[in-house]
Amino acid sequence: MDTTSFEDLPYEVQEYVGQYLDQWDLRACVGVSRAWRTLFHSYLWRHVRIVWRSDMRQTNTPTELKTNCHLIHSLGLTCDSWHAPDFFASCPPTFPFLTSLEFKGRFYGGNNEFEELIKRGGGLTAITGGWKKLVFCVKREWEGMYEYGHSFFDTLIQHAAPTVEVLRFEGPSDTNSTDISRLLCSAPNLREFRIDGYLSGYDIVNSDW
Amino acid sequence: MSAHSQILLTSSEGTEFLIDRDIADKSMLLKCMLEDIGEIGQAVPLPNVSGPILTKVIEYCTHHRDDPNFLSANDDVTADIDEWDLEYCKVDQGTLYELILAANYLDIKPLMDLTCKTVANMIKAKSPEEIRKTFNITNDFTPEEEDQVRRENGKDWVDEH
Repeated sequence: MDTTSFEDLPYEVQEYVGQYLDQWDLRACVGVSRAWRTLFHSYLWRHVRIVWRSDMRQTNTPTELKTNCHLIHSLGLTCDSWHAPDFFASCPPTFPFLTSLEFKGRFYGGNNEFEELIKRGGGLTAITGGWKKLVFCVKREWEGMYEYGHSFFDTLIQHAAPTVEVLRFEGPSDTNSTDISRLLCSAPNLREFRIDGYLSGYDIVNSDW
Repeated sequence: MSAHSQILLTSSEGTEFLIDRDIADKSMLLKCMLEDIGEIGQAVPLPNVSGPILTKVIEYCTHHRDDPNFLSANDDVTADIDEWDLEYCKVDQGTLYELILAANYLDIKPLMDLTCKTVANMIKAKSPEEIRKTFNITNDFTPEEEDQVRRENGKDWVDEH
């Protein structure tokens, strides 16, 4: 009798292995053979990290993003404020399964971009359960505190607060404590909250919320 | 029904295995079956599992007999494999895949997780060519496809950290 090989395993079982691989290993996997490419393609796109640069629109990245946006569950995006409009012009109107976002970049102020991202993700709430994790690691261009405005919090409260579990604002920031109160009062599932800057070291477990 | 009762299993070759009920209960397939129809006093045939593999499976279930969180033991996809389990998985590839098939069929999730994680560890930190060698896979890409894969892999847009 021939020895059992990896190909003899049922497809779902082969696919199950993918959950233990990171993006770098998965990239090697899709380059192995046609069968492996089919097998691991969706995992490769499940957790994506993008560093958005000015020349991105000339590459095939926007097409790739649009083709595969339905596979993305978590997104790590590095993008500075002057490239943000370009990113939004290139990226799909919605990410149906995106529930986790880690954003990193340098910004002047004004949070329209972040509001836009929050609105485009969160997924089909009935299926994904909505936003789980949001991390904003924002440095203000030049110096000073980055200010998260009222309308940013309005969007956050409306689109993410009911379901979000982890919320972190990293980097020096300036936030209105009323906004924070409003947010925390409308986020029943929040188990990790962190904000640097004026309201540093807040711990949800020890706080009144 | 006593908790100390024993169950008779028959492997694909017809070899009989007498095991304790709590060991059999590690398999969701057997557990549900025994709950549904009760103990019939006859051997349960397992035509998909060979004797040597069934011996290995029973070894695993016996070792983890008293684990309080047996079912969720290997839920953490990033956690390291413990020493006994690591040693347990040092088998040839054929046996490893047979174990996966048995764990899948008998519905023993922690064993399924452990064995699939072991396969993943055989993939990790390897180039496509090294993976092909390990798994004895032929590269069936045309040069054009290979080129496309390289592009899609997005070396130009993903952070190389």
